[in-house]
Amino acid sequence: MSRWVRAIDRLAALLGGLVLVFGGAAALVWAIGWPRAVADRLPARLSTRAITEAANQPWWPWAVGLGGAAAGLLAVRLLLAHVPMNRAHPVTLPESDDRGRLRIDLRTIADAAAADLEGQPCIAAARGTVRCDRGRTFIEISARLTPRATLAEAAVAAGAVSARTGTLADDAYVATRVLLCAPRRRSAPPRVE
Amino acid sequence: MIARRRTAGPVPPPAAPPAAVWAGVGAALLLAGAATLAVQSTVVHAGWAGAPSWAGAALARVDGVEPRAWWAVVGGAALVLGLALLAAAAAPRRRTCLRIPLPTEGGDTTGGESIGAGGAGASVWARLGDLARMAGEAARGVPHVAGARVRVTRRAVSVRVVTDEHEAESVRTAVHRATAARLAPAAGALPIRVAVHRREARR
Repeated sequence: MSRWVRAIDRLAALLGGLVLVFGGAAALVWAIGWPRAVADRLPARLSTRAITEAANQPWWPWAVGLGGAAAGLLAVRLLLAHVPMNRAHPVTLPESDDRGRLRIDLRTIADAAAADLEGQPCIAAARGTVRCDRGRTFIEISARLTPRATLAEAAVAAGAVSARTGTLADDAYVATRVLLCAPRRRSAPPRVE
Repeated sequence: MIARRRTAGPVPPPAAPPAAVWAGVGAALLLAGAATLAVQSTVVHAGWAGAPSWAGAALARVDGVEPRAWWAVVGGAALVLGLALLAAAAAPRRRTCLRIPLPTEGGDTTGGESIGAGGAGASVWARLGDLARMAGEAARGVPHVAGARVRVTRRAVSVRVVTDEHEAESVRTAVHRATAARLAPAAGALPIRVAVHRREARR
């Protein structure tokens, strides 16, 4: 998830929180009539006259329709932004110039790095993805240890694969984060009676 | 167009998604609902459909409503939910992993920005839950341990074992050794606290 999506999430939480706090407090004060100084300022009954008057204007339905279409597009965009997708992540290398551009797809490098790590004896399975987090794009490999492997040997293998991945392009352009996962639970032996 | 991805610099430490993610998804769903109401209202107004406008019908129902006693309950619930949303908006992301130092590095395991072997690239982590599982299996493998529960935080490892052994101290030492060996080098700088509970013998 990119930085702007996280910022929008926090903004939505802030605005929604403010609306609920003020709306909830208003409903509470209105219902119990206390504190009196605030309750006396609230109207005796709800009125939607301002909205119905605006709705009678000739421009209203079209403005509402356009606003609704824009809100719908924004809603779809926001929902899609929250769905993790395995899409291409091309990165342009600094050797690019006017004569041509050198680009690498981080996803293919992530797959290759995961396969490399999976080939290590201490790793049972590994999966590589490209992550965008806090404004940084990098490769993340989730690797499951074999039951007998120690964290130390898995960390050494992960470090070696990270170093090899860096040499595929340039250390500064392909950074790797490895998450070591616990081995699968051993299934209970079958009971013989 | 040249892709402007920021790939240089240290990899950020893993963290759980912010609590405000649900507010973002909820806001998107609310926007979708509002968009549906608005477009239906326009379609009805334009005469393309004969049904009454949903938004108009809702406004007509709300108009002239007087406060009721049960609004206090709904208002109170909305107030609490609003405060929770405000807290979620400001809450930092929870760190869920412990850094595993590579042999060439020092012993900092408390999860700072990581630059390890392999230049800017190497950054090796393990989830706290996975470490607890591994430590739990190691503790259960110690003789005379009937059961073990492990909790790993970024500050300490707490192990609680049940034993039928009268020598609780020897079990404690063995569990401590097994847990430390299983979690090395991730828990190198973390204190490991072992609590031994004796299981009462069945009569």
